[in-house]
This record gives sequence, C-alpha cells and structure tokens, in this order.
Amino acid sequence: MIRIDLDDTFDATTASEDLKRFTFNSELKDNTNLELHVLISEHPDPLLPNVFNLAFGPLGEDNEIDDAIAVRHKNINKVFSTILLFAITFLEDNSDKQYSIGIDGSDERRAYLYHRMFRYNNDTLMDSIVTVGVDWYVKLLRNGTDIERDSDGLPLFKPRPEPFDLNRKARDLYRYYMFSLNN
Amino acid sequence: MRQTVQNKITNLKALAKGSISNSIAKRSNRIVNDNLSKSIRTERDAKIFRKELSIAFKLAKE
Repeated sequence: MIRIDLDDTFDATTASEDLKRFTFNSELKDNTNLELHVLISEHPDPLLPNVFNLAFGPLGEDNEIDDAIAVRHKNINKVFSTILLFAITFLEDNSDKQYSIGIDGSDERRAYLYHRMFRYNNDTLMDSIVTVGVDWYVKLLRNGTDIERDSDGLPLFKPRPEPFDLNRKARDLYRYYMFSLNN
Repeated sequence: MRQTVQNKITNLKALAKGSISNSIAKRSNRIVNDNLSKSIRTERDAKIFRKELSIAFKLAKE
C-alpha cells in the first residue's frame, strides 16, 4: 500500500524550466542510489490537447525512461510522494489551462497500484488534486441484444469519465485514471 | 493547497527557473497509443469526452 505524504519527498536534483522533466535520487534496499527521471509529456493524440502522460523510472540503455523495470526502493512511499509532487507542481504552474494527467490502466499491475493509491490517499491528495476514473461503455442496440460494433466486429467502446468512486474496490479497476488540480 | 506543499512548489519553480537541465530523458519507452486514444475515434468523440471530463472534474471538486 502506497502512503502519500507530500511533506516527505525527495529533493529534485534537476527540474526543467517548463516543469515537465525532473530528476531525483532514490535509495534502494541494497543501500545504493538510483537516479530516477520523471517526464510529463503531451498525450500524443492531437484530439486530447490538455491531457498529459506521466512517466518515471531510471534511464535505460537507450537513454529513455524505463518505466517497466522492477526497482526495490527503500522508501516507496517517498518515491511516489515525490513523483506526485512534481506532477502537482506542473499542474499548478499551468493552473489557468485545465490540464490533466492521465494514467493508462491497461497494465493490470499498474492500474491496481494507482487505484489503491488514489483510493486510500484521497484525504491527503484532495488538498491538491481531484481524480477521475474512466470506464469503457458500449451502446446497446434497439433490438435489445446486440451491441454497437466497429468494422472489425469488435465492441465499439467509448470512454465515460466519472469522479473517482472511493467505494469502488481494487477488484473493479477503472480502465484509465486522470487527475487535475483541485482549484 | 496547504502552505507546506505550496512552499515546495515554489522551491521547485525556483530550481527550474533558468535551468539548463541536464536531464536527457526525452520520452518513456511505453506504448503511447493508449486505450483512451483508441476509444476516441473522431473529433466529435473527443469533444464529447472533453466536455464529460470537465464535468467529472467539476463534480469531483464538490
């Protein structure tokens, strides 16, 4: 369980002028230090102009963030608190623009972690951010049995956002998570 | 937003100001065509989603 405490965060070692890129050091369980990079980037879909992606992790051999690598942090709570603080800083700096940060819940492990983090830290986080969960819905056709399908015959699902339901348990994950500044 | 968090944000902005960042990470290696993007197929879909998202955030603030 991730416990967020925005008063207990690592210091940033670097921060880009646009507040989209940060680095900080995390101490690992083997007592070594690992530099972590945080990157807030525009969602690549031009139809989602005010949505940003959040990526974090060490640099891989290709000098890109490796967010899939398993890392044994000594203080995972502090790591996530730090990452969220950076994200909140970016949102606060753009508070006039209604930006939001999105997290794809298609990775089951990642969605489980974020769902529990947002659910159990809501009291702490709502001082700074509000969270929305997105489900996929499909239209029921008028014959009452068929659903709307695309040209490949697959269900034509559409996104439906709602305020994060705190009563919704982690076995009922959203498909996408988004948060924005609470202003 | 409580003052301790605001102070941290202020400090981060000061660090960022005029930064010649040595951070070389340009992007993540994760798949970028995510499920949200796949579910929005037209400008009309996007317009409806943006409006519903705005309403959802507004409700979340209540």
